[in-house]
Amino acid sequence: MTMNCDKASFLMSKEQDKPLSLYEKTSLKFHFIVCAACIHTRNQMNRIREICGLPEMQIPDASKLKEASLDQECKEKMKSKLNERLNQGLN
Amino acid sequence: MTHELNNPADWVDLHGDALYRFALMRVSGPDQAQDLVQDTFIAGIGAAKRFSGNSTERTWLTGILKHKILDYYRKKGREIPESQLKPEESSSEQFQNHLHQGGRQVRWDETPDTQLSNKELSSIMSICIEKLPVHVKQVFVMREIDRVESEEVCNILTMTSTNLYVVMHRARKMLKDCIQKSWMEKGVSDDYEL
Repeated sequence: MTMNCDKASFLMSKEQDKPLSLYEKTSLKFHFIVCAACIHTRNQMNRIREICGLPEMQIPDASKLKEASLDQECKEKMKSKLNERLNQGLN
Repeated sequence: MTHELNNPADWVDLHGDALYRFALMRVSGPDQAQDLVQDTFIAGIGAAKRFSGNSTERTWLTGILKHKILDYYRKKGREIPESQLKPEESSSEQFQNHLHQGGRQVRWDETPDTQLSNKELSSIMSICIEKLPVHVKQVFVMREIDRVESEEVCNILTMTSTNLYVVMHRARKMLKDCIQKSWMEKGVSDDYEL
């Protein structure tokens, strides 16, 4: 039941996407006994999930994206399509 | 509180940019993002009668956009290049080095002022997610931000579950390293290091 840290890290990640088998869980537990660094890694992976679930993360606001916007030409096109559709609805 | 819808003709100015940014984070290019926003508005006109007023107009339109994004992937039935799925050759070695000899471990995962650090971490996280390779980013955002179940992600993106685990592992490792780095660069490490 020896496992290297990369395999352990893979299992810790997999654990977040699917329940582990008993064998996988046990190997991981044994690995944690001898490897404090991997316990730390597991905390960090949990934290990543936690941060991604924050309300602030709903619309990621990376600095690059903050400035991203539709250009005026594109907006006008959208508006005319919407108006077209709205007028269709009236007839 | 009950919300009401504005005239759909005003949606472009009111919500266009926000929805565009939302889509841009989740698809591969500006053209696709624009089309999805356009489709969302059109669908919104059709669905306006069913608007219950329980959420804001923005939230309601964002919900429609989310469905449009998932549809986009379903239709695309896209394939992920093999090269994106294989773990890097030396990752195991690098990872071990990083863990055991790689200098200080900064404790961004446990900080005293949770309120502040959450806000800061979520903005660092956004920047780090943006840096992921595009295929990895799409899988990660769908799984972790939009909270789509693993099985559903595999169906939508036509990938095997093993591929999903590999991609997600890669994403988490890269994010972990990126956050660690950004956190240290922000010069707060001394306060928070345990």
